[in-house]
Amino acid sequence: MSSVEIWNQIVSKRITVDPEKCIGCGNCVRVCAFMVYQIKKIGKKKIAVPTYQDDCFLCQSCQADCPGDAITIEW
Amino acid sequence: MTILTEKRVETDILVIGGGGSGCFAAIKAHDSGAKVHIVNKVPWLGGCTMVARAGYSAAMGEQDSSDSVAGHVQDSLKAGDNMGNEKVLQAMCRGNVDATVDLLSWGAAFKKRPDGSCDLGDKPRPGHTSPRFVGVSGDYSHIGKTIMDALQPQIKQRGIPVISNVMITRLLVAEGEIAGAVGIDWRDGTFIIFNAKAVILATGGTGHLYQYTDNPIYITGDGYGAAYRAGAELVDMEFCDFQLGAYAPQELFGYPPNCAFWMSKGAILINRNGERFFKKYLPHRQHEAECLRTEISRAVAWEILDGHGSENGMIFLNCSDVPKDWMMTARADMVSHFKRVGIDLTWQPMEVAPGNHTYLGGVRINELAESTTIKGLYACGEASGGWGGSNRLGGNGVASALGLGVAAGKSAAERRVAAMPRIDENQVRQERRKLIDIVDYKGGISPLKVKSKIQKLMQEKAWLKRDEKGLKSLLDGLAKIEEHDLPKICLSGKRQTQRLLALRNALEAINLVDCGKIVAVSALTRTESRGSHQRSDYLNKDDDNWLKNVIVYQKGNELQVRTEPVVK
Repeated sequence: MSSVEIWNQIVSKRITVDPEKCIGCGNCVRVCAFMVYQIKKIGKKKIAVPTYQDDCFLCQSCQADCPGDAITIEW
Repeated sequence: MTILTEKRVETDILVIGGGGSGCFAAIKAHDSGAKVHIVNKVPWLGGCTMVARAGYSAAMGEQDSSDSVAGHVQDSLKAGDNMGNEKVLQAMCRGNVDATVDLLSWGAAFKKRPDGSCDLGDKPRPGHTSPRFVGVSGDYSHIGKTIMDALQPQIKQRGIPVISNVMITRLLVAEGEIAGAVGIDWRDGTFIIFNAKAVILATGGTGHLYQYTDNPIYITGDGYGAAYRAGAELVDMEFCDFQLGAYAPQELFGYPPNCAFWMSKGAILINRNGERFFKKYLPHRQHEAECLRTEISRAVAWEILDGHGSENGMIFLNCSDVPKDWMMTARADMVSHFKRVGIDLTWQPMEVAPGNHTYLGGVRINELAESTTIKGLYACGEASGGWGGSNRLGGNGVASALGLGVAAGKSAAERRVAAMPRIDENQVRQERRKLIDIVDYKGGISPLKVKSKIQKLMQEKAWLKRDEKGLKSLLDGLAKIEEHDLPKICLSGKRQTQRLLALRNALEAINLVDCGKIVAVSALTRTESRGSHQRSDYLNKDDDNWLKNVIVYQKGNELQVRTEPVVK
């Protein structure tokens, strides 16, 4: 079992992006070294989607660089 | 913009920084009877500790007399060319054992033996004379999370208030003694003035001074900058440690693959022409895996600077000789990450370069973790410096956070009985003016541009190939940025949250310029190559002249530098 698998067994976390506050700037995609986020077009609006939540390292870089204060991480 | 409403907070001890070090300092100060506040730049506790991988060193063998704190101190001194401060190391290694005992009692999920004690491994790690490796199962696991998982509930349980999203911009000092600090809540714009009997800096390093770094985005030398401007001495700032990381393609920027481990499994470094190059720089080594971290980082940086890097300015780490079964099991997560950007590690290489990892220098402290110049100012973890000498013993990064955190918390708590110091309101007004000037300035340049200008300069001139000419032009460049760019920073954006984030970025740029100057001057002063400080015009170690600390401080508005023999 890889270390990340072991870790994911003991941790549950949930990343949410508030679609109202997200401005689709892509800062989270840029600062995340673990490629958690993708920018997707939903309806007419571009927003960040935390597709690969399990890869998150909880470093808070995305929250710290989010100009819309749109990201919440619960763990 | 409706910002800069004022708020005042009074406390015995103000801890700046919410990583492992800050949490331990806060817990220890609280348990000694002091009223404590933690102020944290990011939303919740964790900080740079969260990205720590693998494990850390602690002399836990002390409990069955197979090891001793003194042994850990001696090994640390040896790793740093005997340039570390023995008394501070003593406090750190002692505190580190206490911290580990606490963490175990708080249920930290470290790797344990059947009797419940820490499993320290069978043999000593490189540089250690005894097994001391405190880790989690798995060879590259998330130790930082394990530590923070145990620490967070302790902070909550004690009811220690954590003030989040606040960046401290200035320390308030009156007559050589600390009186508090001021900062800004970069989410709602409140200007906060803390009145405190003691301040503990646990702000980490300044990874984002360089373009390439594996640190979280908010690690920008806020503690170094504030301490320097308040008149504290900073020591050994030329020793910044670089580690190979993935910085291309862009999606992977900052990814830490732990190259040393891959190389120990047979991965090799090649340049753009497909040549293995390490022998050119390290003829006495047989394989990349044998080289010390500083040696291999320097070799890679020089090869890149000689123009033999990839199109992205990186060196290739060829993993095709690595056993596939190990790759597919122990590193399955990394294989899948690289696959996501179209790189199949079984036959395609990673692109790596040395990125800024940790700082060995920092605020100069004594064995009580107190600043040598400002009474009542304490520093722990990466924010403190001078304890480790020119190189850091493996596993001492987290150890310094925990160990010095314990030491700082305990010593700072002694000041709880003192009278509340009076704040010099002039300093508060000046700082408020500075913030308002930034907020009100219209039509200038964006703070992000200034930041990246600084990072590019540092990367070009003060990476792993430093020389007098480059460092002098770096200082000129930084002086120009300070004179022309910093005063013209403007905050754009439709929303208030955008403008406030820009304000934080502007304040970080100010810290980066100060840190850049400190690193450049320290590096210029040390005319030798040693540990992580590598100069191309002084290639050798010079023990006759340079068993000294380089100390930088501000007097008036001028940066001063002096050297001093290592403290014994």
